[in-house]
Amino acid sequence: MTVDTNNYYGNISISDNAIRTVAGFVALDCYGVVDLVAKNFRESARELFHKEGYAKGVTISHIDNRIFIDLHCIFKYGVSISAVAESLKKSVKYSVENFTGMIVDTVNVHVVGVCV
Amino acid sequence: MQKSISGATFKKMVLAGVSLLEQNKEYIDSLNVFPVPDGDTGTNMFLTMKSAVGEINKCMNTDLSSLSEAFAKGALRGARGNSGVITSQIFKGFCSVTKNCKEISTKDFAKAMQEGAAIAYKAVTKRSSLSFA
Repeated sequence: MTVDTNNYYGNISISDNAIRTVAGFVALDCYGVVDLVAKNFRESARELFHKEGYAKGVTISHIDNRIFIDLHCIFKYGVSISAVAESLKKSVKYSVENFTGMIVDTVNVHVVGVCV
Repeated sequence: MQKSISGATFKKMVLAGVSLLEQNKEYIDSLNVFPVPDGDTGTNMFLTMKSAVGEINKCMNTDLSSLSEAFAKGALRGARGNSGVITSQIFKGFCSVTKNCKEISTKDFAKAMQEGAAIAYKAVTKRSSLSFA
């Protein structure tokens, strides 16, 4: 799947995987986030065959040119989850919008684990 | 010369620190740092510290152990933004050294600050071995 946009010179299509990689990279850079993980067993099995790298644990959907991002993360124990999630949402939204030039509608953060 | 830090001194230090941070928060905001350049680093840090001070003011005990624990708890609860979360982690580490101490020596203070930095760095450890949740 790709997200399509255009400028004066022609069309630009950005693959979901490119956006997922950017989102995953930025999310891992966020303070308090230890890792991103596949959301279920199926995703995890797929990961065995396709090296996902930074795209792991990030799901993307889009309606028209608006992007919806879901992040499945493991947080560090002892940090304020609400504060980290808030800054995670902010930084992912900012970076993806900056990278793609399209609007990120929603960033959902799913805390699936805590690393002690 | 100051040889030890008691609960009362710690409280004074914290209050002075917060008021100094309040005076300089615009300057820290202007640093406009990572990850989103929206310039609220100083404000976030100040709000975190303000919440921590609120917790210290509520604390009935005057020994260093209870005060630092209240301070760390207040910082954790009121953490805002990346800078606030990092500040709260520094005080969490600080608190782990001052636990059960009525007062600490200057050497212990240095050790507590080092522990604070170490705990703050621990949250940057990346990539666990878990493959799915």
